[in-house]
This record gives sequence, structure tokens and C-alpha cells, in this order.
Amino acid sequence: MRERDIHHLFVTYYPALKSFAERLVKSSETAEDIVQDVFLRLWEKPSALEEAKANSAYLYQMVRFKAIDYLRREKFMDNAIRNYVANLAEEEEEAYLEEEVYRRMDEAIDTLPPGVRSVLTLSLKGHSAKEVAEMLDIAVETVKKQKQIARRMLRERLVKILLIFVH
Amino acid sequence: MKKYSDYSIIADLLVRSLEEGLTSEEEERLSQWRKENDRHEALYKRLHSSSFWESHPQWKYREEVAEAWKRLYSRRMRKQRMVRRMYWGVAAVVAISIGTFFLWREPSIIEPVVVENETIVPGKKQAELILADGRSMVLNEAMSIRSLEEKGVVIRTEDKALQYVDKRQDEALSYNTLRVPRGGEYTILLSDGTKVYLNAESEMTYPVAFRGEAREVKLRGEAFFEVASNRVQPFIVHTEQFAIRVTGTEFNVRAYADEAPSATLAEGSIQFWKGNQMFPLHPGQQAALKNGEIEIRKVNLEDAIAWRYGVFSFKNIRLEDLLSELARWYDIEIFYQNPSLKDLHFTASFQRSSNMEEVISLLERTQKIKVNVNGKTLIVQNK
Repeated sequence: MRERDIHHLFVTYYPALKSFAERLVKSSETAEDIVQDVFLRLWEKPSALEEAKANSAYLYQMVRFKAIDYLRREKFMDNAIRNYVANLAEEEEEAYLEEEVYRRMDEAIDTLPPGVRSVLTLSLKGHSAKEVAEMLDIAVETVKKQKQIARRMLRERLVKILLIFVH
Repeated sequence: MKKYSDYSIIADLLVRSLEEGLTSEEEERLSQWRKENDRHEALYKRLHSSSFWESHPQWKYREEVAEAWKRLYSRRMRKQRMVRRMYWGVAAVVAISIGTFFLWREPSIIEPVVVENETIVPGKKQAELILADGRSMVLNEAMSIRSLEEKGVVIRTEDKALQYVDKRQDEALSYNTLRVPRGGEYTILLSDGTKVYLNAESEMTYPVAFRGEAREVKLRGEAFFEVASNRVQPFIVHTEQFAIRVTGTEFNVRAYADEAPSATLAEGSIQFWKGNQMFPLHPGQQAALKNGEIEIRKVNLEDAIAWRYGVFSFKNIRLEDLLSELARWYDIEIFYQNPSLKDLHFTASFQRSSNMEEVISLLERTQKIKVNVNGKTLIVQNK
């Protein structure tokens, strides 16, 4: 059961945590090692796993500790690094928010039907309705409609909404 | 570290601000946060700009999740093996001293106990797999197949889906059946890479690996297909009354015994076959069989395949049809005190994970009906 939970957390958070770690240590290889260490820890310590399941911010915290640990331990303990670690707190909030906002949006978008999903993804990337229509070879009106549908479905997923009428 | 839980609340507000889903109080709270310092305001602006979504590292890292998991898993196994080796030292001594030889094999299937209760709950991942030799096993959230081999094909569960991996490509056809009960759904990844989502009370029979000229499966009930493209080996879904033939596309097939069967196309193109008559379908079109007649119409794709995305979406639907759909998912029976109630029309949409009380209170909010629950039966009355 533990393996299943860990796998689920891994699939859900790996991209965000790796990107988060990379911001802190500036190396994608080290970032991956750090994320792996964090997940190994979840395997060894059931209470950590429970905490991570209940509160995803905990995973970011674990990554942060490991990252600082790494920065301290590694050879670059010169002044520049010391200053960097000291100022990390300011960047941390931003790093966490950027990764987590992206991840949550991405997760919600992922649950949309394929058609509306591609319209929305292209729109988020800044393409106009006309450009999207050309890229997907559909009518501009369709793009607009699909965008509306996508936004509505997305809102429904972000906040669980229930609606009903009768006639 | 209280800080991070505050961050998490801000993350939630930011996400919903992107979709204009904030209440005015939340709006206020977020604008306070933005005013706290310049960095916050800059971050807010960045998240609301399209360049943020254009090239984010998470895109790239998403592609490597499976590989990274493999690496993590083997690291974990190595660690465990070191611990186990110590036990084996002891075990070997015992075995030799009593003069017996053990062949140890790890059990391939884990089967914890399932707890049943009488309350009504939404459907969940569950199915029964029937192997070619007639053996069957139950699959659900708690039970998985680590690895099983049939005719050179490896069968396992991964990520809550049943998966077939063709290793040898030289054996004859061998068929499995996946049966999803009421109150269930299950996903299966066939050996050609085609993904099939089976809805409640549905059953599909398929070869463990595809040989010959066509990829053919048999379906009862409802399924959504994402067919892996293969022009030379078309994919054919047989139901009792019709067949669908495609080369690679996404579509929904609905063939429950108690209603008019239909097929709906999401992407690409499919051929709807009834006997030797063929009807091509375009995206957004649905072919339905009514009293043996084929009827092709445009449908709202969002509603037709909502279930696949975890949503019920009903537009102007007879109460009887709406409730029979819910009955399959919540595994309940419906009793109407007055048959005319069946013809009331409803429009509703809600998550499939909603609990029964929520759904009932929604239906009752219309002031047209009253619903009582007795065990696993819903009794529908006039208001």
C-alpha cells in the first residue's frame, strides 16, 4: 500500500519538485538526486509519508532542507554561497508558488477532454483565437466556444461546483 | 513551518484567480498579499502572463517521470536487498541443518481483505480479470498484479490500470476478459498501446496480444477508446448489434442491454458497421441504433464522454435515464412510487466522486421530487 501511495505522490509531484529543487541548487542532476532522496525517505519513514499525503507543502519543505544541506556540504561553501543560502528564504516563497500554481493548473487541465484541452493549452500559451483556429484547423467560432467550455469545466474542477435546473 | 501552509493557501488563490473563480473576499485577501511587497506583485503578473505557460521546466520533467521512478525503485530495492541478505544467512543455516531444500518464490499477487458496508458510495476502481484458462482475479485499489505471464505477454497493474506488454510476438491468440461490476470503472492498456476506459457494469474480451490482420475486441456496456494508430492493423470493436472499425482515434461506445446502443466520436474518424452497411462518423457525431434503425446526429461531446473525465453531465435527460446511469455507478436500485415521474426532464452536472446525499439534495432542490433512501434502494416520490 505504501508503494502505491509513494508512486502516486511521485507521479503527481516529481516535475514540480525537481523544478523547485533546480531553482535552489541550479543543477538539474543534483535536483533529481535530491528529489529521489526525499522519496526514499518517505519509504523509510511512514510518518513522513503520512504527513506528505496530508499536506503537499511538506514535500517542498523536505526538498528545501535537502537542498540547503547539499549547498552547505558541498565544496562551494564560500562567501557567495553563504550569502545565497541566507537569502534563500525570500526566493523560496516565489519558487514554491510558481511550481505549485503551475502544477495545479496543469493537473486540472489534464482532466479536460482532448479537444477543449488543446484549445485551452494553446490559448494559455498566448495564441489568439484566430491562430488557434488555424493551428487546429477548426473554425474561430468553435475555438471561442471550446474555450468557454474549457474555462467552465476548469472552474468546476478547481472548485467542486454543483449545478442543476429542472423544466 | 507554518509558513508553507500559508503559501499553500496563496497558491490556491492564485490558481483560481487564473480562472476568475474567486469570491470577492478571496479577491480581497489576494490583493492584500499582492500589496505586501513588490516581489509578490511581480509574481502575480508573471503567473498571469502567457510566457509563464509557454516554457516551463515542468513540461520537460513530466516526460521523465517513468524513468525517474524506475531509478528510484531500483535504489529502493538495492537498499532492501542488503537488509534481506542478512536474513538469508540465517535461513540457509536452518535449511541445511534440517536437510531440506526450499525453492522460494515471491507471491505475485497481493490480496488484502476488502471491507464491505451497506451505505451508498460512489463507484471506484474495481474489476475482475478472467484469464484464458478460466482463472479469475479481483482488481481494485488494494489489489494489484505485480507480474503474470501469458503466451509471452506480461500482464501487470500499474498506476491503477491493467497493462499488457507483448514480449515475444510469436504466439497464438489467447483471450482475457475484464469485467467491471456496478459501482466500478477500470482502465486497461492493451498490448498495442491502446487505452480503454471501462465504465460500470461493462465487460470486454480481448486477445492478450494482437496477431493477424485486425485488432478485434468484444464489448458489452460502455467504454471510451483511445486507439493507438496503426494503419495496417485496424482496430475493431464488436458489440452485439454493431461494430466500430478505426485505425487510430478516440471514441466512446455504449452498448448496455437495456437501452439503445450508440457510438460517439471524439477525434479522428470511425466507421460504424451494422451488418454490411457502413456509416462514416465525424467528430462530435453519434450513431445510435433505435429499433434496428441507424440514426446519426450531432451531440454535445462534453456530455457524451463526461464520465471518462470523472463527471456526470446530463442535459435535458429523462429522470429514468439519469437515475439508471447513477444506479450503475452507485450500485443502487431505483423505485418510482409514480411511473409518470420517470418522464420528468433534468439538467445537471456533478463530479462522479460526489456522495449520494449531495446528489439527492441536488435533485430535491428542484422541488419536483422527493427521494428516500432505504438500504441500497432510492424511492422516488412526488414532492
